[in-house]
Amino acid sequence: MKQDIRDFFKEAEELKTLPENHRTEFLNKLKQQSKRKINAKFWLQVAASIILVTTIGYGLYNSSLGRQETSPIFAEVKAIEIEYLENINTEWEKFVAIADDKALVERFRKKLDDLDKDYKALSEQFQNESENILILESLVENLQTRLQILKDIQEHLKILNQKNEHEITI
Amino acid sequence: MKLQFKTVVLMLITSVLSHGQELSKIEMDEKHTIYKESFATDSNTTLVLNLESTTVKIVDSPDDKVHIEYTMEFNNYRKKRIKEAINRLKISGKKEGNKITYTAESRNMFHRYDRHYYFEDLLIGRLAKKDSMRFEKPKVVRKSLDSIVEEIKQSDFLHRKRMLRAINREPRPVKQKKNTKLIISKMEIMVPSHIHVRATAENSSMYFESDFNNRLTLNSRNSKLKFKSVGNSLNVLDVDNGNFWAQDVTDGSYSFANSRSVTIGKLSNAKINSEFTKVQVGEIGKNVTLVDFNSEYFLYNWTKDFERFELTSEYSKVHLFSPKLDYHFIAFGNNTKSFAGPHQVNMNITKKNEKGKIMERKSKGDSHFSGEIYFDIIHGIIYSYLNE
Repeated sequence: MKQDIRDFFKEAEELKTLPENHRTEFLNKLKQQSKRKINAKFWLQVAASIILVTTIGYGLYNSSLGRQETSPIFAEVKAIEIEYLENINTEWEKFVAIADDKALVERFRKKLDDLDKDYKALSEQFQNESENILILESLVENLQTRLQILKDIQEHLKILNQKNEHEITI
Repeated sequence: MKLQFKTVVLMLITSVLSHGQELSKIEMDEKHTIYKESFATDSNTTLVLNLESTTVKIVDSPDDKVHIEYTMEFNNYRKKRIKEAINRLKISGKKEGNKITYTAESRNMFHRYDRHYYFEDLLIGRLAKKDSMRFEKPKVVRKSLDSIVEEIKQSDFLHRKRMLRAINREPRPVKQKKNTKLIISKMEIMVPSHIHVRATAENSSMYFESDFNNRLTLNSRNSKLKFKSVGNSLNVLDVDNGNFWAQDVTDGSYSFANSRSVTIGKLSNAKINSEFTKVQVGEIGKNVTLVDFNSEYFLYNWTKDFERFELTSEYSKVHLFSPKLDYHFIAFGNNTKSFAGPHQVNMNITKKNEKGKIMERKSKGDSHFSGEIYFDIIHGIIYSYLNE
């Protein structure tokens, strides 16, 4: 069906005629619409940000803690520490049970307390300087020393207290 | 036996030489001079060293100046990480009047035992692969002065090996492959012979590479000290925990507390105060005095003129290898036991508090008289080894 293209332009000219209050109506509508949209978007963004920040923060916090706790060297030193401290306590009890020299027990108590304080200071340092071989050595040596001196003194006391047929009193 | 010893010495020399050659093959990406300074000195100068968590090598100065140089080399580390590592070091040096103060504190996350090596450690790491250096449970036998000196030379490696085994690690030689992260630290202090050195060391290692006859006042805690020869009548060394190795101690006053390894080759003109410590002495010379509480002493050999040796102790265990020449031994005290040989047991006990003569071995006059051994001992145990 053939149509004159000029008719189309005439119709378009007619359509261009707008009602008198069209501007006010449009602005009102626009105002209402945009107000609703901005509010919803804003709150949505805030909520999303909070969720995102909380999730990432929690994740990072957990992973940093986990890293320290699960670091092989931390775990191993902790395991060694637990084992040694248990043994030190056991040996201390055994020592106190066989020692009849109060001055000796006191001297050992003080020595072990000093070494324990030293160990705590070293442990704190180790938290900040993980895997520093010099600190590690000091930690291990501290535990070994405490255990060794307790074992040695018990052996010493056992030998001193042994009765012997060839005993000579001068 | 002599042949075996010579073979071991030859192997050691060969290995050290080959390791020395290998060291030079390690190529690092970057070298940073952390500190480099020289200070003029005179006979009134005191060098104050404050060391924490670090390793230092001390050598003779070629002139009258103190020269300090600290370098760090990095391989395969990012610039940012290198900068962080360097920024965490606290290094300072200054001279005020006659006092030179140098402080080195290393608070660093980059000290991983398998990545960060002090220059001296490189050799230790390399020795680790030698099977001939295996640990053996120590037997109580008379050790010669030479074997004690050899023990001192290897002490770093043996100690490191013991420590790493305690945390289920094996010492590994340094292997440089592509992309290997590696740090090498080298701190060297050159000291002229006429100055007084006052040092405090905590969690540190001090290696005195030359004979050190300067006046030395040293307080160390959880540290390793290694000397060739050390001696000055004004020396005062206080070693708390940690280790002390010296091939020759010729003079001075030394205190050891809770040290698991104090090994001395030759000892003379020295006063030692110790507690809770294990001490080995290769050869005892003139004028040695020991005051001890609850340590274990191994006295292996004596010079032909040690003159007089004194021990005052409580709850000590003494392994006494008798002098090969004529000597006089006398012990006063109480509540002490003596074991001579594997089977014979002589008991000398007074349960009362007063001391009395508990043992005596008179001079036989059959050979050169080397000196007197005098013990004042209570609650002690003496193991005497006569002909071993």
